[in-house]
Amino acid sequence: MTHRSRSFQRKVIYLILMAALLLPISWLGMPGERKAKQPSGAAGQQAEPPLLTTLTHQLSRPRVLARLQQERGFSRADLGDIDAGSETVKLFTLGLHGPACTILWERSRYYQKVESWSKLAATVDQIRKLQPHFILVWRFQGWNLSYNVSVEWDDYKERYYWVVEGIRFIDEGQKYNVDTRLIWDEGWFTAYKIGKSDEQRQFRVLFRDPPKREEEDSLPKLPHAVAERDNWLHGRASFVEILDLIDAGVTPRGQSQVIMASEPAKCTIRYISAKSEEDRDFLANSAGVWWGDALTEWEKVTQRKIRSYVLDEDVYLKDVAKYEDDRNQAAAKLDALLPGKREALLQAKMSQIDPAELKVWEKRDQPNLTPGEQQIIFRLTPLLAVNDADVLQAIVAERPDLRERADAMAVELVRIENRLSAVRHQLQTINYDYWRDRCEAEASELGREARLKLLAAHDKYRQDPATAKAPYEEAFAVWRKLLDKYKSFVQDGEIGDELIREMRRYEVALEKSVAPWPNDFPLQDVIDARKPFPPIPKTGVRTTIDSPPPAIGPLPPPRAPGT
Amino acid sequence: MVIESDIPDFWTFLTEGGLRWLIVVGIVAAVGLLISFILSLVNHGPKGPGIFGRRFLDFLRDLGSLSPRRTWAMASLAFMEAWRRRVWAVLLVFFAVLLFAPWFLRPDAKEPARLYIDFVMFSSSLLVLGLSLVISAFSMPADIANKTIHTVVTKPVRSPEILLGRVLGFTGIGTVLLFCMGLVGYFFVDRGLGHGHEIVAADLVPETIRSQRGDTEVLRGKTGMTYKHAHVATINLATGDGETDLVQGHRHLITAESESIEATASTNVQQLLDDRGKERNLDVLFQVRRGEETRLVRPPFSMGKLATSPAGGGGLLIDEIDLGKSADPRREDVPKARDVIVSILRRRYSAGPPLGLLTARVAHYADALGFRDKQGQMKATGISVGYEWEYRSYLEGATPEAALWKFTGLKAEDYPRDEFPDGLRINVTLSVFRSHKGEIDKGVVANIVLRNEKTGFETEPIRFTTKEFETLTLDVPYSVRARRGADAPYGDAELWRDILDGGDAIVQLQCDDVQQFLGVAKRDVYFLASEKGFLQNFAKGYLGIWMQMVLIIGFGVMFGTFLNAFVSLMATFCAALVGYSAMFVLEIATQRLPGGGALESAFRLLNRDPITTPLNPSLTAKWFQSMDFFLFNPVLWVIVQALPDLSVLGCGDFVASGYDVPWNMLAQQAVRVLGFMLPLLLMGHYIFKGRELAK
Repeated sequence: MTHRSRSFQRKVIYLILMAALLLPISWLGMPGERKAKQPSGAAGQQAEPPLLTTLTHQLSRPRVLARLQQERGFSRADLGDIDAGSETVKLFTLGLHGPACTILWERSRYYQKVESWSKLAATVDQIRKLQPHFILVWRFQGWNLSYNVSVEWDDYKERYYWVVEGIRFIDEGQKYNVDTRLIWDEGWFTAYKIGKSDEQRQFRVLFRDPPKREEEDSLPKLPHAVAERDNWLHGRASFVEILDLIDAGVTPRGQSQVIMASEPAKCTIRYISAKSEEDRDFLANSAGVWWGDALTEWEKVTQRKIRSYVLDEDVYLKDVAKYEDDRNQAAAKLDALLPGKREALLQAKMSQIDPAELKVWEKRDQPNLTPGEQQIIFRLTPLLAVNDADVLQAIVAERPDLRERADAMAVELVRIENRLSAVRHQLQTINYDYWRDRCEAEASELGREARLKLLAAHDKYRQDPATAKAPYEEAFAVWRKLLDKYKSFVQDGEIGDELIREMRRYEVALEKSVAPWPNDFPLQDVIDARKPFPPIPKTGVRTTIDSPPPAIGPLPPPRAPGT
Repeated sequence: MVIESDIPDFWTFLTEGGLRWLIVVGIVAAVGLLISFILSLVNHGPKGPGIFGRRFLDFLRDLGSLSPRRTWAMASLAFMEAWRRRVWAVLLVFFAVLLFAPWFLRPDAKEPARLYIDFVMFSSSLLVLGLSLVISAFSMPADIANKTIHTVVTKPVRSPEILLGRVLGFTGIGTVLLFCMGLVGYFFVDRGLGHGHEIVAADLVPETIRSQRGDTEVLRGKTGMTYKHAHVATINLATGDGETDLVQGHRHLITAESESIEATASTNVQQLLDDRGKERNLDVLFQVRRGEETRLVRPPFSMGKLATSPAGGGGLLIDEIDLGKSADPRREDVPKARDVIVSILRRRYSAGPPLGLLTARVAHYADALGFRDKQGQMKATGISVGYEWEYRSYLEGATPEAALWKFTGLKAEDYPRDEFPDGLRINVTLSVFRSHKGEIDKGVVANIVLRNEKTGFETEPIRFTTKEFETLTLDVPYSVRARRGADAPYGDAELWRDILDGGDAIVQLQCDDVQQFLGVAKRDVYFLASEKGFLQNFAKGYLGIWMQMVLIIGFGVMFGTFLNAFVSLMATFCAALVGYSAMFVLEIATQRLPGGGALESAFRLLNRDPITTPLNPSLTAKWFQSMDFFLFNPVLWVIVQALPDLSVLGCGDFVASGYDVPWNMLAQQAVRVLGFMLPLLLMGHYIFKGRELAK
């Protein structure tokens, strides 16, 4: 045998060995995300393919590496999972990974433009294989599928399909990346895209509709147990997962920490609201307890350690009262250096204001201010504010010997003020007081009574609008009591929307009963609060208390009964 | 399927295209000969014209004495040469690609057939075209460099035979490879998409379908989920056969394997009923005697107690039965007390392979689409709702606005009644644009009217609910309600006699919902003729790839006659690249794309200037724009005109979308290939003739 033929033989052997190695590699590395489902029983027998594909399908079943990776939790490593499929695709680009990504991104945009959805989905899949650890791929394309592609479809079921596709896509990204932004997106899409879309009613029904068998479930598996299959509770589970990761030491990215901390409770609140609208029994029997739990959960937000990036330190929102106390004490100490100075400064400022306007400003804590009065108060408040800096300045000017003490106090005051301001800002960000009051009100007996009475009136209206007048008046009377207790609700859009809807029905009920709109309607302030705000005056134009109230139209015409 | 440009009639294409071809080829030939003449003059001085003349005469003489035998010999040589270079390794790569394809392909995608077919055809074309590019571009220069060409040119063989032989030889090897790939690819697609669905007997609920032919007892229920979809199965209770509904463009036939057990005193009925839980597709039915009648009944899965005793005339008498809560005891198809069980039927349901997933629909498209506006005036386009893609025009609902498709050449024999028993089939794909939410859970309603301008007949509106991005099928009955004139009352009419007289028809579409819009394009409404086999259509798709391959080989061989191997490879590659993106390059050359020409775009890239804003009027910018206008754009334009548009040669989109590739289109593509190959070979021959080694 010549050297040449031996060399050829060796090459052939190497090639055969390489080809033979491809089979176990293919078998071992088959990605875990694709289930090669084969129907059992006789149904599947007809579809059994005999050739090359049969082999690959059969071999694809075990997915050894994927299973091991899930069992051992490799995908939760900081660098994320290494996907054999992804690495192969990258290898195939022969170093042209960058251009390939650019071309694919361009193709995906093109396919979306020409409404070629299956090609878009396939292209997105290729992009994510080329860039599995690029978070924005997952975030952008997940959002694109759930929000942009879904709305292109007219059929709400198809829309739901694409919303869930986006959620699944984001969930897939979490196998390769540990990043709170992806978990946040999954929670947000599940909770808000499904629960707050125009199609929320239909989406929620589809979401809650359980599959016959677990393997048929298109929804991602949840990290936490949920009370029932509901988009708000599923979304909540994702948000809770973020908090768990933060507690475990993972640095949160994306949203501010206070929003992350508040979302689980917000989801609970949204769940109760949605469920109360859909399920009468829930509203009558369980909602109160749920609202109580939501209140507890909401209050717990203040007990979480929140990073303040302004202070560059951790704060607790529950400490707001303590900080206010500290601030008051520090201000009192400052005032004690030169007693009566703060009051004197205020008087000096007040002397420069028009007396008529000053009278308005003195009424600032009173309810039912006219829009003109509100504007004056809004304008004068900063002008009449006597802050600690003014007092300090006055002390130093009058008593230079107190300068050293005053400076020390100023430093302390600034420190406390900054902290207080940071905490207050966090509380305002999540609208803490409103949601606390809301939970408290809804959990109270009065709140429950208001809801049930309004529901009873609504039911009467649906049966016969003419019989709904008295139940509505009864319900509005209870609501009056509730709004008196929780004054901020008068201005609230959500409650306002709900009440105005019922008022329109009440108007129809009055028409049917041939009764006029009552002059002493108990919820007139809710209607007034929804009138358009007067135009903001141009700079230099003085608004007086005599300005006529803005023109306000009547309630929009009532809709047909049953709407 | 989206078809953005019209496919002209073959003779129109031939006459219009042929004339253009003659002009372009004439100009190119004249310019080429002129250059050759000038070069002869420059190189040989006063002897130049004589040399040029002799060379031209030789060129003509060689063409006249082409020998098929010698050409065949050269082709065989080229084939063997390529084979010895182990080009078959491409097949191994293709098999390896298919082996790993299930990693990336999702049979549970929205349109799995499109995905699989696209993938297989793309892989095949990439490999075969890449291979053709390399072997054709390297062949001649390698032979010249190795001086092996001398063993050929010293034989009595002429230069056009060498070139043609190489083209044929390489085409032969490419054809063999493509054939193998097509064959394997077909099985890959067919088997890859093949799937069944589990029929869970417990999920089937008895129902009665009422029709004019009488009541039919059926079982209906959702099938198991495979590839992320499930169907609704309807099974005839008496026979056990049935079918599923259409989901993701396919359905399944359901068959039952039945086994009858005679009911005797020793039969353990309860045990047989309990067996149902062990195999999910197993159903148990009783053949019972009820009075004088014998019928098939189905004990519900929720059934509780069942007490039987031997009956007088044989069988088992049902003494007591508890049907459970979910069963309706009033139904006739459930067992009742005092029924006598004659035999027990064990049935195993199974769903067959998908039908309609791999198909080749033959569509008869309209000749023209027009729009009627609110004032009743005809327009070429409808309303734009602001979409970037202007493929579809829109019409407003509940207004006189309508879209009108004009059809001609409809023949009754293309629509056999045995295949379309319910009527003439119209397929409609529409886009929906809602200007308000409307009723979210209901689709927008539209109607279609068929009209014949000659007879004046028009059918009653056929109303249907639209489903966006889905092809809806409407059957127009052969006996229809129609009227003659807008004010006439509707009466009975015959579709082919009155409405489609002469094979002409106008299909009018209107939207019925107020302030909602329907988007339509010319190819969105068509008559569906008999379907053709998928295999044949798949082969047509590969024929498209084959034609692209022939052209690339032509370019490779032609460039190889005067360029060295790598330059020839690059030149062929660039020709193919420009060929595949001809429209894009043309848009650059004619400045139809935002961002300006090639140089201006490069300038913008360097300066990070957005493409939509005008450039700052600097001297540099002006220079770049002028260079584009006077030099680059004209050069690009000439290149695009001279090179073939390879993107129009593919017909993979037809195959992937499940539409039959029209022979007319293939014939036009073949003529196009021929139209390019002829001048390419002549050019190659002339250049090769000029080289010393071929003299």
